[in-house]
Amino acid sequence: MRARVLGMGLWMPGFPDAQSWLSGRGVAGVDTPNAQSKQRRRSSLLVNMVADVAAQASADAGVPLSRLRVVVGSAFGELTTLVEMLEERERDGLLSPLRFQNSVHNSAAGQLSIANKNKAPAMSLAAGNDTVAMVLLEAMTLLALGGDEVLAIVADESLPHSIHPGHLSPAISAALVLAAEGESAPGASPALAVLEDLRQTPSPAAVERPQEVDGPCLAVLPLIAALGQGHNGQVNVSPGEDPRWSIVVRDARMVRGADGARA
Amino acid sequence: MSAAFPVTAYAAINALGTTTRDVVANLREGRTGLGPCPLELPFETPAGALPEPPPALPPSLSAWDSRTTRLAVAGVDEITPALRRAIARHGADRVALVVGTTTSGLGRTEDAYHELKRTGALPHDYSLHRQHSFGAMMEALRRVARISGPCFAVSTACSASAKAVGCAQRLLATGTADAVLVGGVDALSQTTLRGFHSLQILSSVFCRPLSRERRGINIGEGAAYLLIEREGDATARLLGVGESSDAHHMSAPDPTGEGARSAMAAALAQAALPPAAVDYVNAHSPGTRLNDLSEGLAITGLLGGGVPVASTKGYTGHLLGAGGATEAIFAIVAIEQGWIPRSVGAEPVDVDLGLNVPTTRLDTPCRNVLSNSFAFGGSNVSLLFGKGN
Repeated sequence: MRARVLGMGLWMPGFPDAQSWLSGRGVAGVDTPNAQSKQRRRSSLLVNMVADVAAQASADAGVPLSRLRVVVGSAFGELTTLVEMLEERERDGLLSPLRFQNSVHNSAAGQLSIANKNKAPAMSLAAGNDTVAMVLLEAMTLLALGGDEVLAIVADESLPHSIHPGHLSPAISAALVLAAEGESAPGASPALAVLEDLRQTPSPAAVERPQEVDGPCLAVLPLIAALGQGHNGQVNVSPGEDPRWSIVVRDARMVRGADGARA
Repeated sequence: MSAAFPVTAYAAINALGTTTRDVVANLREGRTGLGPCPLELPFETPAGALPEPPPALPPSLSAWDSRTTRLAVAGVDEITPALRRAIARHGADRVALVVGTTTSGLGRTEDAYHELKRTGALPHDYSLHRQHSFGAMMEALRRVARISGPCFAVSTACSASAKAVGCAQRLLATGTADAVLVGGVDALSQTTLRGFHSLQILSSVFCRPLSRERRGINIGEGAAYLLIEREGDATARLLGVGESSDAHHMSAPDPTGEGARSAMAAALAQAALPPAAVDYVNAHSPGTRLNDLSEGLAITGLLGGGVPVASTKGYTGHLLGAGGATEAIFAIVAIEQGWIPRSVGAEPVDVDLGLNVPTTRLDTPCRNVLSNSFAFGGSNVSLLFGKGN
């Protein structure tokens, strides 16, 4: 399976987009300026992180958020909201209905769909260390079977210290707008690159003794770097010393069927 | 895409029984599995608890212990012989594992947090990675199932395991996998029950889906798995999967039923079948008025009012992430055995819905059956199963 990358977005505390991270020029604060304002007030950090990178990638790709199929991957989901609910229960036994409805793993996918009046299918998945790889796999299988572009997003908050003490993992969200081979839809940007050959490295060690990584979605960073810097070749998309999954990034100009690569 | 993938094996455990045979027998006889909720709660509600607690995990998996993982492992036991045969045919790396869940190890974290507040420290054996995370349950399942192909959890709330069937279909259709063990698992938990209570949709009595006397939902727990392959002999096949989003509200369905209707229409279109080919609809209907009105409009709008429509949540409770896979099995049983369960609790039926709701079992051949799952976030899925070979 092969997919063209039409656009991307990145958010980490201090890095509001891929360019700031690639250049190493961070900024103060943890705001998510691209998340829609109504959504920002009412939503968790995770939802806002997802909305922010979705807006970045959509704008970069020239494809409106109202028509993109969405795949969101998060290894841990709405953990901060969960801890707030656990605290509520300890305090007075009952939960806030709003907090409960927003605690589901697909809260980000659902709110993105509602905010953009997007009735296309939306997926929300988790796969531990393989979360980035499985988001790419789900997005590429969707594209392989036809239909519009797919917005592939990975996101995790920092893990709450109360239930995971003594660990530090930065929050991260990243998004790619992926399209099938062939001509871009009218208005869509030319391809940044082509992704192909998503594969699992048959490493018995990685299978039998998987490392427990606090920020598995950080594994998207090498892919963002390759796309941002125009590097081609095999890129690991699983974390740890013995990564399970990799994908090949290719120059869109060198791939038949990938129209009009960006200069 | 128009490909019919054989469902070569299935297994389910829930309030109706701890074996698939018991689950199906009780469904056939119209006996509910609902009963008192085993959790201590500050309000009354029945629940669909497993008749007996799931067994402890084997020592090699004890680090991953949670009630959800126990359910997941107990549920996979019956399907293991068929899975082993599939792995022998295709190779372990050509078999994928996709499981829907909403809670994963939430119950374990609830207990750990309570301990933290009581003593100031988490239990020494609590691990967010191994007992709470979605990856934890998947890792334990992967080890038990001995699968080394793609492996992930789908968590789209109450549509999760039906969405997982969609993922399985795509993995098979693209040739990424030759077989997929697809399922759903969820356990009763304090947060889930208190959360639905806060939304004022939890019933204090047995739930009555599709009845004019409905008062809300009951929650259940269980695990269900289907083994779906690219080729093989089977009595039923996955013919189509339709998915859509309401884009309306996080926890309330679109009152027009448009999203539900488009999911069902997409499943039929994928199979190139007309609405008239549907012999039975396993409704999502968990027991709320808004859900029934929305789904009723969707069904009557697409299929008319003649096709039998039943909800099985009066038997098992709402199984959340396990619901889609469990009810997919009920749809397959209808095709295999030629009967439609009575929609338990539906009498007196809400006639305003305009649906044909059976209040006694219908013994009738079923060629094609739709099974609906809808969820928070406006996530809609409709699975279409048809006769096998």
